[in-house]
Amino acid sequence: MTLNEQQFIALLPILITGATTVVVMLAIAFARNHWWNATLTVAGLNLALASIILAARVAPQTVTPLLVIDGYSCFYMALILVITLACATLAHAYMEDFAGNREEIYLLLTLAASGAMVLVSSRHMASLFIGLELLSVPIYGMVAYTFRNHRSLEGGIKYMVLSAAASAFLLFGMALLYAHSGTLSFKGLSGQFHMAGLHSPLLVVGALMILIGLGFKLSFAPFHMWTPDVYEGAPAPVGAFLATASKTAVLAVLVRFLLEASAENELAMREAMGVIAFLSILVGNFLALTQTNIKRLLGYSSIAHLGYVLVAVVAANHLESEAVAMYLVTYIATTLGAFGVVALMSDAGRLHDADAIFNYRGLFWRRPYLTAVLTVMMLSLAGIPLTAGFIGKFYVIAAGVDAKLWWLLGALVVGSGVGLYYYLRVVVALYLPEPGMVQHDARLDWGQRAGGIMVLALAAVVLIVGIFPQPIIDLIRDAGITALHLS
Amino acid sequence: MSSSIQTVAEHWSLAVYLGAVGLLCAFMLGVSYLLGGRDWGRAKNEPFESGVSSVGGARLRFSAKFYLIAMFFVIFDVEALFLYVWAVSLREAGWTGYIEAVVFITILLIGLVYLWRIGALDWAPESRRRKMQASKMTHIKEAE
Amino acid sequence: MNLLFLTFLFPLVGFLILAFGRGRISENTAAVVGVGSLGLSFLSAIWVGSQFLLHPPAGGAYSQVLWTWMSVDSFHAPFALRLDGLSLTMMGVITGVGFFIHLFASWYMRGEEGYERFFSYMNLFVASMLFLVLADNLLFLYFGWEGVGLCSYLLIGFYYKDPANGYAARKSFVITRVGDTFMAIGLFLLFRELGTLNIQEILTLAPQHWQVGNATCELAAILLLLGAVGKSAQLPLQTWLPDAMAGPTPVSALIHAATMVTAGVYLIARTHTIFQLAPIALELVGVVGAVTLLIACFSALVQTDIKRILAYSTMSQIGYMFLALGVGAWSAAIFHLMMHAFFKALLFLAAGGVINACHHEQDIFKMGGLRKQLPVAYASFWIGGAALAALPLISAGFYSKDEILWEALASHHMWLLAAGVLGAFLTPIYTFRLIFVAFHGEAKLQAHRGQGVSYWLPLVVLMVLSTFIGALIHPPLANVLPASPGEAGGHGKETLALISGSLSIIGILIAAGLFLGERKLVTAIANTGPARLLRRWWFYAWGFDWLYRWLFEKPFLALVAINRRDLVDFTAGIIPAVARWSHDILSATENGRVRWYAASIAAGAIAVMAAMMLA
Repeated sequence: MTLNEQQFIALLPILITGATTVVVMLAIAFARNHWWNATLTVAGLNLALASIILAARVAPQTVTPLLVIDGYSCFYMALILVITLACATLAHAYMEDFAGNREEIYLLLTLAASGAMVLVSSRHMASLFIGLELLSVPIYGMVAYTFRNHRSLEGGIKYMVLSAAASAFLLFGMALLYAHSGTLSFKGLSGQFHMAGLHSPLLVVGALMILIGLGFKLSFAPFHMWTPDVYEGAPAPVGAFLATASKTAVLAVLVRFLLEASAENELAMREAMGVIAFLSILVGNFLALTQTNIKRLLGYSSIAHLGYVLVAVVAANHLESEAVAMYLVTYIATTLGAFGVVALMSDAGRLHDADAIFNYRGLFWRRPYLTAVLTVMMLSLAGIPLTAGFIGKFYVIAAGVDAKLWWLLGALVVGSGVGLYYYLRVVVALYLPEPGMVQHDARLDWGQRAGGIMVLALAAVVLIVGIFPQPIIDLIRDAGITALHLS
Repeated sequence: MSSSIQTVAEHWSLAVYLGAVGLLCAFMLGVSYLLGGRDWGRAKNEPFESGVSSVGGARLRFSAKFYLIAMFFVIFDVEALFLYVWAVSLREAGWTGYIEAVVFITILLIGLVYLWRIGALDWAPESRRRKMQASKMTHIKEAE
Repeated sequence: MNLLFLTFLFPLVGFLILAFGRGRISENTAAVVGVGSLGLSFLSAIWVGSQFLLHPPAGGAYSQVLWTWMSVDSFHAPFALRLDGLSLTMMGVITGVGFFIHLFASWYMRGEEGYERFFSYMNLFVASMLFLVLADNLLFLYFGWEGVGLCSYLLIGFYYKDPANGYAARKSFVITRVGDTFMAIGLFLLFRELGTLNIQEILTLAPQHWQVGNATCELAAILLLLGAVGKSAQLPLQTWLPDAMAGPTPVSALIHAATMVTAGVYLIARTHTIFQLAPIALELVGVVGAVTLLIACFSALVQTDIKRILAYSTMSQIGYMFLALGVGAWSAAIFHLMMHAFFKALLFLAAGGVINACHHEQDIFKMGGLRKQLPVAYASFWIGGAALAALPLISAGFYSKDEILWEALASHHMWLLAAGVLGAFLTPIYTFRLIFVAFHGEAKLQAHRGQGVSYWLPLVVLMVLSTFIGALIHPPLANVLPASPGEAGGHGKETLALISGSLSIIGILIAAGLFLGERKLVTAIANTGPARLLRRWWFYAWGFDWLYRWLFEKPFLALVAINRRDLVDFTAGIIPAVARWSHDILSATENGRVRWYAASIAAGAIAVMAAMMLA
C-alpha cells in the first residue's frame, strides 16, 4: 500500500492544511505576533485552496481504503477552505483586543479544517470517525476560547459532553453495522443494504444510530438542544465556523454515506429522516420566534435550515446531491455574512459579544453599509427572491416536489412563513431610531479591513448568486457531484 | 420453526455463560457472608476505609501542573506507541515507512518545542517566576 | 445587435453611481453621469437600430439570451431580450426623447435640492422602461412595468416636503396598482391556460388553443386591458394623471407624456393576438379610448393650470391610441404613440421653460404676453400645439391622427369615428386657448429668459420632430403587427382628411376668436348659470374623484368601521397564537441543563428507533 504520485497530489489539500497547522505552531513558538501568525495561516489555507485545482485534475483517486478524492470531495474541501479563510479573517478582526493568547485560535481553526476535509473525503467508517473527532475536538477548544466569559466556557463544556454522547451513538452504530456485515467501507455496506434491506434489524438500527450521531452535529431535532447555548457562548467567528464548516462537512459525509452505501434505499432510513426534517423545520423556526439574542437566533435558524436541506436528502432523487450542494453554498455565504457582521460589531476585549438585537437598533444611522450587509443576509436567510437563499430553497422545493413529499413541503412553507417574522424583526431593529447609548459598534474603518471586505464580498456573492445563479449551478454540475448517484 | 431451534442452538452457550457469571457472584458473596466475621460499630457505617477513621478532608488541592504533566505524558507516550509498531516492522515498511516515521517524529518534536516555548513545561507560572526574579534582583542590589 | 443589452445597462449603471454617490458628488458630475448614461444608451440604441434596419434578422426579430437565470431539472428560466420593429420603435422613443428630456432636465433642475436623487430616479426609470419593452417574457415585462410604476411614484413625490405631492404620488401608485393587480391575474390566467409566459409562445399558442370569442380569452384580454388602462390613465382608472403633475416638469414630459403612460398601448399591441381572438375586449378598448378622449378634451377646456391642460391632452391623445387599437389599427396606434411622444415632450419641456421663467407660476391666466419674453418657448408651443391640434400638412400630429380616423372609418366604427372627429375639433380649441392666454395679451409678470444649450437644444430637436419631418419616420412594424383594415386605402380617405383638417383650423380660429384680445364673449358665456355648473363639473374632470370617493372610499371606510373588531383578523390571529404557543412549549425545553439535553438526545434516539422498528 504505497502512495503513488497521483494519490499524493490528490491528498495535497489535506496535507497542506495539516502542514499549515504545524508551521503556524512553530511560528507561534518562534515569535508570538498576531498579524504575522494570522497571515501565515491565511497563506497556508490559500495554498491548500490552490492545490485543490491540482487535486481535481487527478481526481478521482482512492487513497488507501479510507479516503477518496473525487469531484464531490474537491468541491466540499474548497467550500471548507473558503469558510476557514473567512473565519480566520473574522477571527483576526475579533481577536485584536483579546487579553489572553490570541494566536492559538488559528491552530485550532486549521486543525478543525483538516478534520472537516478528511470527513468529506472519507469512504470508510474509520476515516469518518477520525475526521469527525478531528473536526470536533478543536471546536470544543474554540468555543471555550474566550473562557473568561462564563457563557463561552459553559458552551464549550456542554458541547464536549454532549458530543461525546453522540459519538457513542455513532460508534455503536458502526459496531452494529460491522457485526452484521463484517465491513466498514461504504461500498462494502452498499451490498449489504441491497441484500438484506428491511429484514435485518442490526443493519437498520446501525444506520439509524449513525444518522443520530451525525444528526447531533447537524443539530437536527430532537438532538438540537445544545445548539443555542453553544452558539451563544461561542465567540462570533467560531460560531460562524461551527454553523458552516462543521455542518457542511458532516452533511457532505452523511450524503455520501447514504448514497454510496445505498442506505437511503432503506425505507426506514428515509422515513426517519423525514420525521427528523419535519421536526427540525418546525422546532427551529418556532424556537426562534421571540428570540432576542441574535446568536441564539442564528442557532435556531441553523436548525431550521438543516431541516430544509434534509428535505432534499429525503427526496432521494437525481436532484439530491445537487440541491444539497446548492443549498449549502447559499447557506454558507449567508450565515458567514450574518456571523461576520456580529463579529465585526464585537471584539474579544469585551466580556460579551454584540449579540442582543437591541445592540443593532438604529445601526443604519451609524453604519449604513454594514446594515445593508446584515439586511441582505437576513433576507437571504428568509429566502426572499433575488437573494441566494431563494435559490437554495427553490432547489429544495424542486427536489421535494419531484419526490411528492407534500407533508415535508407543507412544513417547509409554514417554517418559511414563521422564519420571515423573526428575520424581519432583526431588519426592522436595524432601521429604528437610535437609542441613546451605544454599547457596541464596529470600528470606524471596518470597511477597509480584511474582515469588513470579506463581509462585503459575501453580501455581493449572496446577491449575485440570487440574481445570476447559473454559474454556481454549472460549477456544482461540473464538479461531478451528481456522479455519486451513478456509482 | 427450524430457525428458532437454530437461534436456541446459537445462543445456548451465551445463556450458560450468563448463568455462570450470576452463580459466581452469588457464590462469592454468599461464602463471604457465611464465613466472614461480624463486627458492629458506628464507624463501620462510614463509607471510607471500612472502619478506619478518616483523617482530614478528601478535598486536597493539587497543583494543576500535575494534570498538565500527566496529560503530556499520556499524549507523548501514546504517540510513542506508534514508533514501537514501526520498529517491529521496520524492514517491511521500507523507505516509505521511514519517511513517514520521520514526519511523525518531526511533528512530535515541533509539538515539544511549542510546549517548551509557551512555557507549558515550566513548573512555576510565568508571573511567579517574574516575581522571583525581581526579588532576586533586589537581593543582589541589597547585597551591593 | 448584440450590444442591445447596453441600452438599458448604461442607465442602470448611471442609477447605481448616482444612488451610491448621493450627497458626495457635485451637481455637474451628477448631470454628466445622468445625462451621459442616457446619451450612451441612445447611441447604442442608434447603433442597434441601424444594424437592425440594414441587416434585418430572420423572422423580423432578434433575440438575445443574456443569461439563463436558472436551469434546474426541467425548469428553465432564460433571461432574454427581444428586439423587433415594435420594441425598436419604443426603444428609439425612450432613449431618444429620454435623452433630450434628461438634457433639458439638467438645466431645469439646476439648483434644486436632491439633484442627483432626481437623476438617479430618472435613470432607473429609463432602465426599467427599456426592460419593459425589450422583455421577451410577460413576467419580465411585468417586472419592468412595476419598475416604472415605482419610479413614477418616487418622481411624482419628488418634492416630498409638500404633503400634497406625497398624496398625489400615493394616489397614482394606488390607482395604477389596481390595474396592475388585474394584469397580474391576467398573467396567471394566461400561464394556467397556455403554460408559458413567453410572449412569442403565447402569440403562437393562443390561436391554436382558443376559438375567436372564447370566454377565457375574453377574460384574459379584459384583465390585460385593465392593466393597460391603469398605466395609461384611461377610463376608469384615469384620475391619477392630472395629480401626477405634482412632479418636476421633465418628469411629466418623460414619464407622464412620452413613455410610461403609453406602456398600456404597447402592452395591447404586444399581445394583439389575444385581443384579436377576443372581439368584445377589443371593442371595449376602442370604446374606452373614445370615451376617455372626449372626457379629457372637455376637462382640458376649462383647466387653468398649464400642466393640467397638458395632462388632460395626454389622456385624450392616449385615448386616440386606444381607439386605434380598438379598431384594429395597430400600426396607426404605435405611429401616433411616437408622434405624441415627440410633440407632447416638446410641449411639456416648453411648459417647464415657461414655469421656470415665471418663478413657478403655473396658472395660465396669471401669465399673459410671454410671447416676446420667451420666444423659444413660444415657438415650441406653436409647433407642439399645432401637432397636438393636428394642423394639416405641416404638423406631425396630423398624419398620425388622420390615419387613426381613417382606420375607424374603414372598419366601420362610426361611433368611434364620431368621437374621434369631435375630439379633433375640441383639441385645437383647448390647445390654442392655452397658447393665446399664456403668450398673448398684456404681460402680467416679469419672466426671465432661459439660456444655455441644454435649454434650447432639446426644444429645437423636438420642434423639428414635431413637424411633418417627424412624420417621415415610419416605424418598421410590418412584420410585427397585423395589417389594419384601412391599409389598402379606399375612397373617402381624402375627404376625411379634408374634414378633420378643416375642423382643426376652425378650432384654432374659434380659440383665437374667444381668447385673443378682450375675451368678452367667453367671459360672458362662462358666467351664465349652466355654463358655470358645467365649468365646475369639467374642471373637476367630470367628478370622477368625487364619484370614486362615494363609490369606493366611503363604503370601504364604512366596512372597515363595521369590521373594527376584525373578524378575519381574529381567525388569522389563530395562526400567530398557535405559533406563540408552540414557541412557549418548545422554549421551556431549552433550560440550559446538560443532563436534560443528553436525556433528550437519548429519548429522541429511542423514539426514532422505536418508531422505525414498529413501523
